[in-house]
Amino acid sequence: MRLTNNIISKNYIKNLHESLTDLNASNTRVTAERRYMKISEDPATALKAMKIRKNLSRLDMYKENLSDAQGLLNQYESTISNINDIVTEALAQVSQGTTGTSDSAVRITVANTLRGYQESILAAANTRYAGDYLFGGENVGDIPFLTADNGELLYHGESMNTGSFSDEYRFIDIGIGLTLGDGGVVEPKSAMNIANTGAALLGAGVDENGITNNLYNLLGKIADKLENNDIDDIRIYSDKLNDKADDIRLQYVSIGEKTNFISYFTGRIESEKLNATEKQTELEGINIEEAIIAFNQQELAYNACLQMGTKILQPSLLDFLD
Amino acid sequence: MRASFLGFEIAKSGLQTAQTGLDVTGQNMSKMNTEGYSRQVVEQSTVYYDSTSYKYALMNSDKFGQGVSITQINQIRDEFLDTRYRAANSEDSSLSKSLSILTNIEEVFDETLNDGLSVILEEFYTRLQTLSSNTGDIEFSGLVRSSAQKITETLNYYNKQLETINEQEKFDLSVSIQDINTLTEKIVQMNKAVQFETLQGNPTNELLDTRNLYLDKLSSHINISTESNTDGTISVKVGSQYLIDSKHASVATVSLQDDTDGLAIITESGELEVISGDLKGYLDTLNGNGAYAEDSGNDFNGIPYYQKSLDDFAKSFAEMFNELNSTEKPLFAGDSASTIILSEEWLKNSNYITTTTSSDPSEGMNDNILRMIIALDSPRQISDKFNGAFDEYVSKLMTDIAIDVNFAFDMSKTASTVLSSVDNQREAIKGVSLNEETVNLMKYQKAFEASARVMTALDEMLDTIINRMGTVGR
Repeated sequence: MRLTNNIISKNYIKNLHESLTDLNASNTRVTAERRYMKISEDPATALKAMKIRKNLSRLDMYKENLSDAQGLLNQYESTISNINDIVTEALAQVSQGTTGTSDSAVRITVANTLRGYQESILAAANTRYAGDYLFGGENVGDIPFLTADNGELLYHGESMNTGSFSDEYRFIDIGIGLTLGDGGVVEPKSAMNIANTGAALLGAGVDENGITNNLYNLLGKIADKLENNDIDDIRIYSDKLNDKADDIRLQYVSIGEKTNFISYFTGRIESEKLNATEKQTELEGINIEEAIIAFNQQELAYNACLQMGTKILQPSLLDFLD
Repeated sequence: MRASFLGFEIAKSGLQTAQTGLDVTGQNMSKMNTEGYSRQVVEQSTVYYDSTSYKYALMNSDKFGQGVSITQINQIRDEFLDTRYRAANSEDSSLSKSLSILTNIEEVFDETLNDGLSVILEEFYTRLQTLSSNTGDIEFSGLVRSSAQKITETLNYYNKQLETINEQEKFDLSVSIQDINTLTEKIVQMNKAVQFETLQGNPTNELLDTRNLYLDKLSSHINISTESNTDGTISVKVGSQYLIDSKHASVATVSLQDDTDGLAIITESGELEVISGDLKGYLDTLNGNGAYAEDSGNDFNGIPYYQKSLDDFAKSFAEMFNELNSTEKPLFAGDSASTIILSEEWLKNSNYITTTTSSDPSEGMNDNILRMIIALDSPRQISDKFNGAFDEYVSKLMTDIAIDVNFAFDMSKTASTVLSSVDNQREAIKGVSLNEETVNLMKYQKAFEASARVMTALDEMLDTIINRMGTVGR
């Protein structure tokens, strides 16, 4: 092919331009520490990285939700431990008040103490966490526990002796596949229930002997009996109080289990996050040594290209004629 | 019998030819960097012996050529390569125009370095989650609302940006069309000049160069083909339509038709078949409805495709949340990317979002927020062609534009390689080579010297005949 000076200079400019473009690209890669700057540079990788970003954001969110749940549990734990102390004290008081040797004065004192415990339990049950009533079940905005005129405890306006209480749910998504079941209701297995109901905390209804299952009401009942010196069948009530004490301790233990579950899950999310972050670095990041070497090679190529320019653009036969 | 001064004429023709040769060489050298110039060469021929001018037969020894004459000064050019160059040029400018517009669109959607719709969507999702464990708290429902507002504003903004690109490119397209009309006008004038000079028998090399340059430029706008006529003029066609019909002295005016079916390039005699050139790039990106195209419509993923896709997103998103929030209490108003906003009621009261569908609602119930969370993550028929979650829909749009840009980039690179290879081939034929011209320079200089020496020799011969012959013994 016939080669003219213009072909040489055109090709040279084209190559020089390409070389400079490459130099710029490898420079950007080093300074930004990224493999690509636009999705079109590497669509497949960019979309994978996009998925991972979403995944990471989800994991953070589940972690947040779990830590919210853990916060509630911590508050639950301290409340229940508080109530447990009260119940232990109450048991001691009751056994003191019901021994054959104690007189009515002692019993009235014990009764008064028990009423004081009632108040403490009421206050504990109405505890708030971040502005919400912890034991409000589904309704955390209104104070859950109030006493009726007859001294019986009301939960959201319903007597805890005679009312009927169904399970209450406030679900949060912790990344175990939140789904809707029949009737547009969240499938309980697919989420974590963070509702703590008063019925579960203090007990509701009456047992086969007609004795209240409710801790507050039970203490009230025992206090009434002691005040009235009506202690013939007090045994059944103190046994019941014992049962309630066991129940409270059981709740205490089950909180520990829930905490374990949460920390297990949080740990799993942490390790998933670690994996995702690693994968992200692998997809988006660069190996800095390799990138710098690539840059240096490119720089060398560009310099060589420039040097060649002075050699091939200048000479023609004219340069060698006298 | 040989005429006494015959040799002088031969030497003279040699001198003249060498001089012209030097002139043409000088011209080539001076124009080596002039755009569109094709090198010229002096076509020489021998002046042949002509017996008709002699009354008597000549001796055989006298029957030789009578020097050199310049037949014409030719330009070296290959029309086939011109045609190939123009086709390659059309293709290259079509692809590079598509690429540049697609890159602009990509900037709207790309979230590699900036946060965009998918990040904001994710933020909205996360804030719904936070609200689910904190229902009733005004600050958390406020956060959900502000995220929702970000979504509507982002959709508005995306649409606005696409609109801006659309306007800008439409303006650039009209500039290209103006340029086509100007170039056609110039080519017509060159046609006239060539025709006139050809009639006069004058050389037209420079005129042809200029006309070819205009044709090259025209080919960057639109796919053209040319037909040469015997009178030296040229006709230009786009597809089957004449842009310049020199035989019938008619010139078409190109204009832009902008109606509901999109843009079209038309002349007085109908729509032009644009298959390449930057006009093709404009038309694809400005008309391309992608998956929304009707049967014969442009199915390139252009600006309309992305606008319609965003409209579907906005419409479906608003519909879904309005339904979930209860039909009487819409959270969003508007049904397209440009019009979607938060409903007035929600703007006034962030707790307007329905947290529960319970008949006895209370603070703490979050069943409806969970329903929204699930709906946001569940597949949905967002457009006729797409069934998936909203974030997948956004990813799909990003994939579309990324793959299109990537493809256009590769195609454009290929086209520019082809163009530069054809250009090199053409340049190899028509370009000026300094070495060659320097050789010519020396060649013609030597030829001139040689002819001058012949002249001197002849002169001395005559001197011998006239002044010295017959002087023996004087």
